[in-house]
Formats: sequence, C-alpha cells, structure tokens
Amino acid sequence: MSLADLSKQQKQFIILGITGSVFVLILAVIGIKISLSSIAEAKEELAGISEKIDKADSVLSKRNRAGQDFERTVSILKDHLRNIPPEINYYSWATEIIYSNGRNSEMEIESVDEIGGGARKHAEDSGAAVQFESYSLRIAARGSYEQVKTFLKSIEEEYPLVRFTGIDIKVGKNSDTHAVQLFLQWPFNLGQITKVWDDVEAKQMKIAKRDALKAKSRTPVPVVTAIVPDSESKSVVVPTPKPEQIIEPDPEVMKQAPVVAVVIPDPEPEQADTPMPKSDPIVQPIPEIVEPVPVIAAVIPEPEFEQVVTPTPKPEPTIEPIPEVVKPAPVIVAVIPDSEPESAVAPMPKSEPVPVNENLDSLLESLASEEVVESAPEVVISDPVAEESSSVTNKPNNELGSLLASLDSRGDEEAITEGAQSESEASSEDLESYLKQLGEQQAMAKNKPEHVEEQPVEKKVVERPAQYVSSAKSTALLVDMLTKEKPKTSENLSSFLNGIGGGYQ
Amino acid sequence: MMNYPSVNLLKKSEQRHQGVVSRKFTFVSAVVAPILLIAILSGVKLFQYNGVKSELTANRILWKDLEPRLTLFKDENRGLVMNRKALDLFGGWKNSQASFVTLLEDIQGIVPEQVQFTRLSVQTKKTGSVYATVDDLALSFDLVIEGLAHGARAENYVIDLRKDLLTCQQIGSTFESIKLASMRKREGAAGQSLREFRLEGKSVVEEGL
Repeated sequence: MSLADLSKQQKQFIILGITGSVFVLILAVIGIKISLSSIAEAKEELAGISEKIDKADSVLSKRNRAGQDFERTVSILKDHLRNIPPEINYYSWATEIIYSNGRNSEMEIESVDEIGGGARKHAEDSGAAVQFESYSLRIAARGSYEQVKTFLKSIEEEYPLVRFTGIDIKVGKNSDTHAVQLFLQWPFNLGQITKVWDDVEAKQMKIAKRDALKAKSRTPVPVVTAIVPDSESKSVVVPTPKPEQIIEPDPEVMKQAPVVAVVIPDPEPEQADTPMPKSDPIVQPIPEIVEPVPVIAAVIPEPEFEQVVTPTPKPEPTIEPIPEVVKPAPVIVAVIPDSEPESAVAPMPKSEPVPVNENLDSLLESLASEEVVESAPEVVISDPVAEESSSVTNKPNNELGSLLASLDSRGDEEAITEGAQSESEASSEDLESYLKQLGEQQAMAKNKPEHVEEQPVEKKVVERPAQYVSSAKSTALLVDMLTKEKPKTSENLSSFLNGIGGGYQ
Repeated sequence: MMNYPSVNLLKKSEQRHQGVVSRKFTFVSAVVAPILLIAILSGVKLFQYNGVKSELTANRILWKDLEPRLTLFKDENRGLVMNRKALDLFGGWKNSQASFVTLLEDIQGIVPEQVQFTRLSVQTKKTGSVYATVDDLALSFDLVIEGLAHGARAENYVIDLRKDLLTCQQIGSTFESIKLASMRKREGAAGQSLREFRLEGKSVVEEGL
C-alpha cells in the first residue's frame, strides 16, 4: 500500500494523525521536562531543609546549657546595673549620693561637676554592641584628711563600681581643713546589651505562647461538657457521678418534700385551728389533721422518691417535733412537678365534701345512738406507707367526726347546766363564729404560697376533752342549729351546712 | 506449457495486507505506544513528585517550628557573648581602680612628724570615656607630693619619705617609681630652716594597675 493508493480522506487522516502525534509528543516532552525540573527543585529544597533541620537539632541539643549560662550572666549583670547611674537623671542620682555621703563624713561638698559632658552623646553615637562608658564627675570639697578618707571609704563600700581616678588635696584655710578635689567615674551605658536581653525575652515569650497554644489544641476538653448538668440527657450520656449526686437522697431535702408539696392545695378546716407563726416554729402546734401524710403516700410510689422517703425518720404518734421539715431544698421542689405531680395530687380530691355527705347519715345516727362518743383521737402522724390507704379514706370521716363531736359536746355541756335554751343560743353563736373562722382560715390557706407551708412545725397534740356526753337532746339541738338559717359566712360552708341539713331532714 | 493469466479483480483499496499484523494495527501501535509510555513515565514521576512534596511539606512545618527556636538560640548565644564581654569589662573596671583609701592610709602611716604636706595629688591622664575592651579600662596614675620638712635633718626626712613610700604595698604596686623632683631651702616664719620638696611618682605600667 503506497501513499498514492490512499484516498484523499485517508491521506488527510494520516497527516492529521502525524501532526497530532507530534504535537502530543512535544507536549509530553515539555511536561516531562517541567515535572522533572520541579521534582529536582523539590528534592533540592527538601535536602536543604533536611540539612537545616539536622543542624538545628544538633545545635538545639546544646540550648539548655547555653540558655542557663545566658540567664545566669544576665542576672549577674542586672545586679551590676543596679549600681550604675540610671538612664535618665544620672547627674541627680550621682549628686544625691555624693552629697549624702559628704554629709555623713562631715565633708563640705562645694560643687559636683560633670567632666566631658558628652557621655550621653558618645554613647548614642557609638554603635558597638557592648561597650563601657564612664560617667565622670569632679567633686570640689573642703575637709580634713580623715574626713576625706571617710568619704572615700563610704563611697567605695556603698558603690563598688565607683572608680576614683584622681585626688588632689591642697592646703586650705587652716591646717585642719583642706581644699579637696576628687575625680570619680561610674560605668555607664552598656550599649546594646539590654536591647539584646529584651529581644531574647520577647522571643522566649513568643515561643512559650506558641507551645502553650499547641498544647492546648492537643488536649481534649471532655471534662467541661461533663460538668455542665444542662439537661438530663446530657448528664445521662456523660458518665459522671454528678447526676447521681442530684438524685442522691439528702435527708434534709427529703423531709421537706411532704410539707412543701402537700399543704398548700389542701383546704383542710383543721388547719385553720392552728395559727402557725413563722417566727417560732417550735411553739406552733401541728393541726390534728396533718396534710403531709397523704402527700408522702402519693410520692412514695415514684422510684426516686422512695429513695427520698426512706431516710426520713418515722414520726411517732407522740408530740415529737419534726425538725427536718423546716429546711427547704430546691431540688425537691423542682422534682415534684416533674412527672409525679398527678399522682401526688391525685389523692387530694378525696377530701372533698362529697363523700362526707354520703356518710353523714350514718355518722349522725351513730351520734344519736351512742351515749358516749369518743372524740376524734389525737391525730398522729404515723408511718406514711401505712397511712397511704387509710388516711385517704378515713380522713373526711375523722374530720367530720371531730367537728360534730365538738359541736355535740358543747350541746351536752349546756344541757347539763341550767338555762339550756339561752345557752344553746350561745352555742349556736359559737358555731357561727367557729364556722366563720373556718371559712377565713380556709381562704387564707388557699391564698398561702407553697413555701409558707415549709415552715418548721412541731407536732403537738391538740388537747381536747377525751370524752363527750351525748344525748338525744343534744343531737336534736345540733340538727336544729344546722337547719336554722344563718347568715352565710362562706359559700363552701353554707353549701356544706345546707347539704348536712337537707340530708338530715 | 501454457501460461495461465492471473486476474486480480480486487481494487487497490479493497486489497488487504497479507502480513502477520495488519498495517493499521502497526500504525496505531506506533502512535499509541509512545503515548502510553509517556503516560506511564509521567505517572511514575507524578507519584515521585507527590512523595517528595509531602515530605517537603512535613519538613517545612518542622522547620517552621524549629526556626524560631534556632533564632532564639542564636540570639541567646550572641547575648551570652555580649554578657561575657560585659562581665569582663566590669571585672576590668574593678581591677583598674586603686583603693584611694588604702593609699591615703599608707601615706599617712609613713609620713614623719617633721614633714608636712602642702599638696597631695594622684591623677590619671586618661581622657577617654568609652571603653570597648578591658585594656582600654586600664588607668595610669601620676603621684605628686609637695610639702615642707623641718628640723636639723629635714632633707633626710624627705629622702626617707621617698624610700618609705615605695615600701608601702598599695603605693609600691601602683607606682613604679617615685622620685624627688625638687627640694629647696626655705626659711620659716619663726626663722627655722625648712626644706620645701616635691616628689613625683609614675605608674608601674601604662596599661593599668
């Protein structure tokens, strides 16, 4: 196949192919050259840097010793620098020393003059790194030979860098007082040396800062996140003992819980009986019906509160005070509304008057039938767990029973005495006032904030007559009183009494 | 023998190469092979370049960390040299000064009662105030003592004084020689004969004490 046999198109393809190949070849060669040169440069640079690093490593291995020597010499020189004139006001500094020493040696200093005068100028002009310059002074004074010696001695001792370059003692006005000229020098202006110190110090600081930053960036910071008890999820995720500490039962905190949570919403009439001054918690008696009991019972089922409740000392049925109730702790307050408030509040509605009305008939019947009815026993805070069920169901009956018993007893007492009619009227008035007081205290109890109930309270047994005499007459009187129309003191009480009256009729 | 004519009915463009490898394949191979070779070489070089570059980058980072330390070390060394020089200068400064107190005490101790000084001078000729080396700090002193000696053997007192001065430690170490420059006879106010004298001393060496 010769070129002449190819078609025109084939020839064109061949030419294009050859041209393209040449072009690609040229490009490839150029590229290879460039890449080879860049690789060579990189290798060269790498070799240079590696060499420098090796040298630096070997040099820096000696750095500790050099650094220590440097620091040592700097400290020595700084000690020296304390004995040379300062950078400014050196004439004042020198004259002060000279005059004070002259005074001490009783030599009369007539004048102190600078010699040369251009010390500062020379120092500024010279570019030497380390140099010494002398600050020269001429002192004209008057004094005895001994005084001159004393003066020289004191200066030499106090300022070891002072160099006396001349002394000229001539006969003075008399044989004891001479005209003295002293020439002294201080080393002065050490050149650039302090500048070098400052530079080195600045570089040291810079390197130290950089190292500190590096170290800081390398160290992880998990502790900070662990400490923050922002949310419960975080505290759970981070394995720190903090959340446990929060849940950890604190005896003081626990005891506060019943007082705080419960007392507020409960509109117990018995509470009104006991005025609770905040100032003196010890004297204050505990009302017969203690509200904390149901609350504790409600809180117990919660697992966290079980821990809380367990350490609390079980209240005994005596007058024992409960000191732990006093202290409020924010943890418990925060926990209460968390998940269990419903269960805690749930038992509360049981104190509503509805079941009271239902049991009223039987109660009144029992009152009428029994001659002697025991008044409500002294209310005792028993084991909260034990009272969990009993307190909720029996409480309204007990309250009502005590109320009726008190009413009944009043009626009986008056029945025994003469003038029963007038006295029964008086007792009805007492009932009114009593009910009024109940209503007011109920309202007060409603308005009271939660923390008010946290006041320390000492339990006291409410002293009541142990037995009441009951009779049919007193029962009738009671019914009469209850059915009688009275001015309404409060809506609750009136409805309550109406309910009683209606139910009884 | 008959010759049979051979007839080729194929067109030239339809003819195929009868070799082991077709011409097209040869052509393509000739074009592609160098390109492939170049590509492979380029890849190898690129790989090498990347390796060198990464190493170079690591070394640059290392050097970036080491360079300030090295500079600091150099500065410390330079500072150390300067400090040592400064310490040398301080040492030279201290060594260059004579204790004038001791000198005065020495003189006071050897002066006889018959000799009375009218002038005592110890001076240096040094005028420069900038010292770059320890040698520059050296001082040379001139001693001048002028006074009066009285008594029958007044001149002897003066001569003895000169000798005694050289025996003193501080004066002897400070001055190489002390010579009697002048001694004249004078008459005192009360009519007694006096000898007015002048002693001159020169430093041991010009460089220092």
